[in-house]
Amino acid sequence: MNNLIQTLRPRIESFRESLYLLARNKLSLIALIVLVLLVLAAIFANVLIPYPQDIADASHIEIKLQPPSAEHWMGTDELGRDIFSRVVYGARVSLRSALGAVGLSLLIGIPLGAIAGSFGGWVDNVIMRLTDIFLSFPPLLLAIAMVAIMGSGLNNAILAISLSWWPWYTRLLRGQAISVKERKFVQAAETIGTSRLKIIFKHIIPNCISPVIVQASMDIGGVILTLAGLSFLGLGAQLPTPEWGLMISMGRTYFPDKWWYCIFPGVAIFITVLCFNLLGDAIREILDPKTRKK
Amino acid sequence: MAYFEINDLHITHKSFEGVKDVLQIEHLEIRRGETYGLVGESGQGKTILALAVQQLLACPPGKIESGEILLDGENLLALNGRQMEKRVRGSKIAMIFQDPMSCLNPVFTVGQIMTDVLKARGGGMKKKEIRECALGLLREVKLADAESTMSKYPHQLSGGQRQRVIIALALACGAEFLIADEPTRNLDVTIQASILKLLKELQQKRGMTVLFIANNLSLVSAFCDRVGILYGGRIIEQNDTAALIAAPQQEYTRVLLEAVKTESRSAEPVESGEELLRVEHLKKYFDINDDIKHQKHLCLKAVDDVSFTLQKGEVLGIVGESGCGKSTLVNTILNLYEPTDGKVFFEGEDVFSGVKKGNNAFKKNVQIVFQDPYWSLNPRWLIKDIVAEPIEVYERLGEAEKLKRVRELLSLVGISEDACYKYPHEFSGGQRQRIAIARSLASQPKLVVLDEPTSSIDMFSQEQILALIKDLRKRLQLTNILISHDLGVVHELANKIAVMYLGKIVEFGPAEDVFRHPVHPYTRALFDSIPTLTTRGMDGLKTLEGQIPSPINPPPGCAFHERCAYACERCSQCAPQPEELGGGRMVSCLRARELENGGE
Repeated sequence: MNNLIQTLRPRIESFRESLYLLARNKLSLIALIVLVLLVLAAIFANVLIPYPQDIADASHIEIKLQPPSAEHWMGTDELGRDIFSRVVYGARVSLRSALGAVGLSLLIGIPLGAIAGSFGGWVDNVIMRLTDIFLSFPPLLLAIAMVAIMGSGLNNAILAISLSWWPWYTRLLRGQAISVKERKFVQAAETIGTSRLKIIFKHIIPNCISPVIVQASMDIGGVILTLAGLSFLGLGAQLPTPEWGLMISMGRTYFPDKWWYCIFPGVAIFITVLCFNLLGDAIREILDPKTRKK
Repeated sequence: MAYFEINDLHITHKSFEGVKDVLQIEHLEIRRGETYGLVGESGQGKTILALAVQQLLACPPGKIESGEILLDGENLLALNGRQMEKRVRGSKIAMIFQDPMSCLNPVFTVGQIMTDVLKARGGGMKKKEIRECALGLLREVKLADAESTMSKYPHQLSGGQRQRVIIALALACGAEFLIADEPTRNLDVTIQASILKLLKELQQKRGMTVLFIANNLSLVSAFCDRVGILYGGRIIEQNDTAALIAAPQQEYTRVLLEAVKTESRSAEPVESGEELLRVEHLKKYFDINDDIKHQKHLCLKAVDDVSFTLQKGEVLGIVGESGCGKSTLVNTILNLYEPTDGKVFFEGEDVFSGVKKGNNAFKKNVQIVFQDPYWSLNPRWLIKDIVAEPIEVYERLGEAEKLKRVRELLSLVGISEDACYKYPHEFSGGQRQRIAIARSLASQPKLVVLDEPTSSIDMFSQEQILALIKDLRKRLQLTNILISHDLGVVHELANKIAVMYLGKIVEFGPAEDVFRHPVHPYTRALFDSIPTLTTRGMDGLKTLEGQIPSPINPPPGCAFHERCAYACERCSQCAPQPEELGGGRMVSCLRARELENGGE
């Protein structure tokens, strides 16, 4: 127990410093608060939403396409379902998919980049040419092509996005790894006789990870957009899942007369993506050693 | 009346930990034409002072709380940015920065940089006049080939040449007050001497006042009229140079003085008779393929035919200018580089053939302590994991046992046990170096290589680290190889010395003999170019002219003959072979016998 406290102490201290740095920038603080609320909403969506049955296939044709009112804060859609309930539940769908897609790409991208960067030579060449091939297609186009092959659906869309996204992380990590492996502690590990694999995973990757984290947190916004795009095209989430992109796609036919159908999911996407971008900036500031005391 | 004066200057710095005083100077004055040396180690506020004088200090986080800085009777802190730019910076105050490698913009040629500065000075000079003026300045700082230097980019110049260009830039606007912020840091001792001489000459010629910032008292003793010691942001002592060195008032000053004394403390020779390491004709060439110029296969001879033996318990000091192959030699012996040719025997066993079989015994027995403890410890690991790294590789121990060993090692190097659960950044440079030493001892090695073990930590800790190394050597019966450019350190620790020049060992022998009576002209030049506390003025300082030749294309014959004061015609024709002089000494010089007997 005592050991645990001792281990945690420096982490707590550095967390306090992070908060201090974060609080200096009001905009990123706001972004963080909004995101925390969003995550809470996603987690407790079942309890929060006023019409839980509306997230599935319920239909109340008699109140279809009603404008925002006291009962339905964001109006209703063409089946009379409460748009507010669906937007809130959509946060869960979007966040989960975005985190999944980014996580999966990190899982592929980081080890490959670290191996390419620290081994160099032909290993580097093979891995980097592979990423070049992936990078030569626009990511959205690549994802569309992959979904077309695998069949549409939310999970396939997540898989397709991660497969088109990992090369960015590989590249980023490789660049970092090349500079980190020249540091003396890596050389020290070599003279000690530490195995190659251990050097990569214990020495190199932990010291390369900061810019990747920054990039990933900014990418979450991008992935949410891409996912919404795929769903809009009918390749991602399928009816009746309350996915923001899909909702915009469905509401498109009623725009601009029944503006609330499109606008509210759109605003949800906009706020989420903006906040993730701001958060990415904030994280960069926190992780930048120059703003730290050491 | 004082030309430059600081009164009650108080500067603070705001950070996560709150507001901190970084500089508190009650009174400092420099008379016209005087050279004032400000000595202190890194982090004591020297550079902050230099920046504050020119209003270049970043505010925030810095803040000038109170005080005045008077230059020729005018308070600089009362001027606004525009006035500073127009009337003070450049035209009255010029600054030479400490790192010549990074303070010239790499995308402009020297000529363009000079032209920009001269234009900024105004006066409506024509293009041709500016060029003439720039050339004149470059000649004034004694750049050998001013014409061609004008069209070169900074990366094409050596460190010494760059520093000369920077000095020329500082002179360009005719400033009367020069701030030299560690102008010779990162330069080799031989080049350091020539830069110092140049500065002194220019100062006398132009009647400049100089604020010379240094971290080493011996530099200042040769160069300055008066000295101030900066510690913790305060000037704790100031006096005339001679008086200060003769009778230091503060404990800290005494430590600084002690650190640069080289006399009478050399290590005693060891006679164990047991051979530990034998290096035979070791060569390490790096291939250079110049595809663009379609040149033939070139190679850089970083280590060229080096042989020596090291006995158990000995300390071999390897000295030489940067780029002479010291580190490459050690890295090749340690198997970090693939050797081109030659053999290394450790306890009679051929090391290189063992490694091919995947034999780790050699790695276990030979460990290295790196120069910079800020980078040699992984910043994201806990100290206990760092020190335990070699144990993990060579022994299978339980968690509790491992922790016990780590604690033992830490107490061996004088670090308290609760360090286990801290991160490297929580320690000072000296403490980190102790941790690095603890790690190097964890696998119970027989030979520990010390690569500049004290050059990037402060003076207080340097002394302690040296004492620790000595103590550990006795207790654990270690053999050491010590790489250092600081001859004081080598003198104190080493009982054998190898002097390297362009990949070759030019002189090898017992430390005492080599120090007392250096034979090779290069060794002599190297020793003479280092200012000591007894050096007054620049006349006692010998300089080694010329640049180090490129190891890709070394001069024919003896590689040193172009810079050698004793060179004769033969030297440019045939390469000298190592020659035994008796007493275990070896010298590679055609005139070794003459020099040994005749001296001059």
